[in-house]
Amino acid sequence: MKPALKIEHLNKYFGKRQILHDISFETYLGEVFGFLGPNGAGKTTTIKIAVGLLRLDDGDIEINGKSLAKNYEAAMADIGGIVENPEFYKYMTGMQNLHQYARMRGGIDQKRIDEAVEIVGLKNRINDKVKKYSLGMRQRLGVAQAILHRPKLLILDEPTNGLDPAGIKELRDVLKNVAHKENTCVIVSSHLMSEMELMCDRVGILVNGTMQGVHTVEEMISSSSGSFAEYIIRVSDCAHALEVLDFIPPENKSVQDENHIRIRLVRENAEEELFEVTSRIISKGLRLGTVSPVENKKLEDVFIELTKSGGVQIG
Amino acid sequence: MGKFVNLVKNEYIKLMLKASTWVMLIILLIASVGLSAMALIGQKQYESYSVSETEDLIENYQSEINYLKDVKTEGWEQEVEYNQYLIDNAIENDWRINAAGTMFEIKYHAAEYGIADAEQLVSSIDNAIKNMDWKTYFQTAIELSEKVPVLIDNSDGTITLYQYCLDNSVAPYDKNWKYSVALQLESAKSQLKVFEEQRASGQQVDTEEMETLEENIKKYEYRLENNIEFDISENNNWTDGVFNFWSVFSTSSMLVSFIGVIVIIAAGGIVSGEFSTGTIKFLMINPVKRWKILTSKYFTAITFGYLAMIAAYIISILSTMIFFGADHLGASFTEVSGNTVKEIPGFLYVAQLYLLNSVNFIVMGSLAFAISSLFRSSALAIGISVMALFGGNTITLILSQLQFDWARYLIFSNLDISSIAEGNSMFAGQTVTGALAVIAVHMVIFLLTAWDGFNKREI
Repeated sequence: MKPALKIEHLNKYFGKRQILHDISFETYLGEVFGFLGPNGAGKTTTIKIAVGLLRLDDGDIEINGKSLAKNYEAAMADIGGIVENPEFYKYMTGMQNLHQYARMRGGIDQKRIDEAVEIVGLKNRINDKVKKYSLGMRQRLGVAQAILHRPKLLILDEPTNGLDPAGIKELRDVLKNVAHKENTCVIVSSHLMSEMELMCDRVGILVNGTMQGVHTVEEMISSSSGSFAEYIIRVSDCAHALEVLDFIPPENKSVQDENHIRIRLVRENAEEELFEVTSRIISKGLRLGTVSPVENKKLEDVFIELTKSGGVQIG
Repeated sequence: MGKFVNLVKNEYIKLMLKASTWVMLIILLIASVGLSAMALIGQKQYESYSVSETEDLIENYQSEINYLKDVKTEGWEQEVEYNQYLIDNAIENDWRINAAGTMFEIKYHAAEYGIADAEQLVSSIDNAIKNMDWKTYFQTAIELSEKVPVLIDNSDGTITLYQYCLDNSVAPYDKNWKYSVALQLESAKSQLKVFEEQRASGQQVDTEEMETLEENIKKYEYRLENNIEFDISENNNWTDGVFNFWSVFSTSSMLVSFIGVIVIIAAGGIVSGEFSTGTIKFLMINPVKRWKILTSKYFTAITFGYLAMIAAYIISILSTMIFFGADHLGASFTEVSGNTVKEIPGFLYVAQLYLLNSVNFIVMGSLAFAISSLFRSSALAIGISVMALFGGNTITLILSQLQFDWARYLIFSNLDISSIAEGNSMFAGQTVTGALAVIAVHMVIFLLTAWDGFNKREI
């Protein structure tokens, strides 16, 4: 499969300071790719190089097979994006702003513009001046602007900034739609991991200007929480309860606190074994309270673990 | 190409949607209409200063009489009689004053001149004056000048002028354009003759002055030959107290330096404005190379200046017509180059004035554009460029007075192309080619600076 974005051995220096260290990754049509990293990791720098705002000093970037360095205009024709804050000409209406970009790209008719406005849900306010827009509305206008020409690669830097929870959910649906139905590659950068988990198919983690790897979301979560399901159970006598559950190896059971024990069951048989656990406790005359499954590790925890290993000093 | 048109269209839309642009254009409109309105007020004031000439003259004659009666110099009675004659016949400053002078000269000094029929001559001249019969007097004067050249000689061209008037039936009054052109022609010729005599006798003469006289002679001859009543070259500045359509309309070319300010504001904000609002990023994430965006911005700023200039030109025509009427609309500007006299149609001539003044705003607009893309600060760009636009002249003036010859290579010393073409440059020996070269070098520097500042910038 031809990558929508292919970054190879990208290095970037600001003066003598090296900001990006040999970054390489590929993203594909039809996926939402999360670009994660703490503040200052180099996410925005990488994105800015990919969209031509910063100079490509060392390394190669191809967009949909076209080299950014050698074939700038053709490569850029396949990119749409928002970098940092969505800033528009405030003295124009949203529609007038979109016309500006439509003219620069060509081949966009009014029907497509209306469609893009509809997609981001800005139809009722599109003829207001941008100076009357909230940050969230400008963010929506930014997305409309970015998808206007049906780019193969949509790059959004922190797109959920300024959106309310409902807006975030809508944006998520919009981006998923654009990626999966219109066969676009969407790259979203963020430091909010919980969001990425809900939105992304794959994530790349950047720490201190170095790629820490690219994984699918499921891969990441399962790789660190393993193949066990965990439960916390309220019982009257913790020590006795652990004795009763002799079929569970000792490393998979422990006393959580005065009233709770914690057990780990092999995920495949977890449901069956949980019946065994509860019935044994009751049959031995112990009293059984609530049984709560321990939530799977969130991407956030994984991320923190991963970035700890790389060091979190803002570089 | 289509894309470039779209880029320029975008820039124009941005420019025209800004309130500040409209404020500037409205001020230009007011200045344009205001200039001809001011000229009208000036004309009224000018007229109120110049009281009726006849009354003025009579007052002069009277005070001359009073003075003569007071001091009683030799022959004062005759002088008093002469002045009284002028008063009695209400003689204005035209041919009659010369006629009266000749008449009294003959009356009292006929013997010295050896004139026999003095009495007859005197009464004939007297009649001519009273009947406004200039033809008889001119005829008499021509005959006299042959017989008694001491009395009336042709050294100042008077007799030639009389002959011309008789031959062509041109009444010798100032309001008759042919007469006043012929008068100027003869006066120029006699002045030139004086210079030539001085030069022949080895004296230092002002050759520039001589050249001007020679040119004027050619011009006046051309006008008389081709029957050109109205010449814009004699009416191209209302500050000379000449108020008519052409003098006011050609003065409107000074509006161009105001348009310079408009261009500087547009050029100084067109790049840095995108940076200060943050829209530059959205402008750049497009399938357009940066230099194309930059070129479209420069093109917009400069063409906007020219569009404003065309608007000022048209508004000035209309407002000048409203205030000063539409006389002599088809008039031309006569220009002498070498041995030939050219007629430049008036509207073309004023358009040339506008265009020559626009050199200044192209250069200063480019300076503002360069500073704006280099420092991303419109305030700095506009400030420096406006200072250069209005202060540049003063700077070169000071430097030229301090005899710093290198200052001739400064951009400011080379912007006034029309003065340099006329030979009135601030430094000796400046040529139009040299000025254009200096301007070209500066433009290349400004535009390369802008290009470098913008194209390589990391955003």
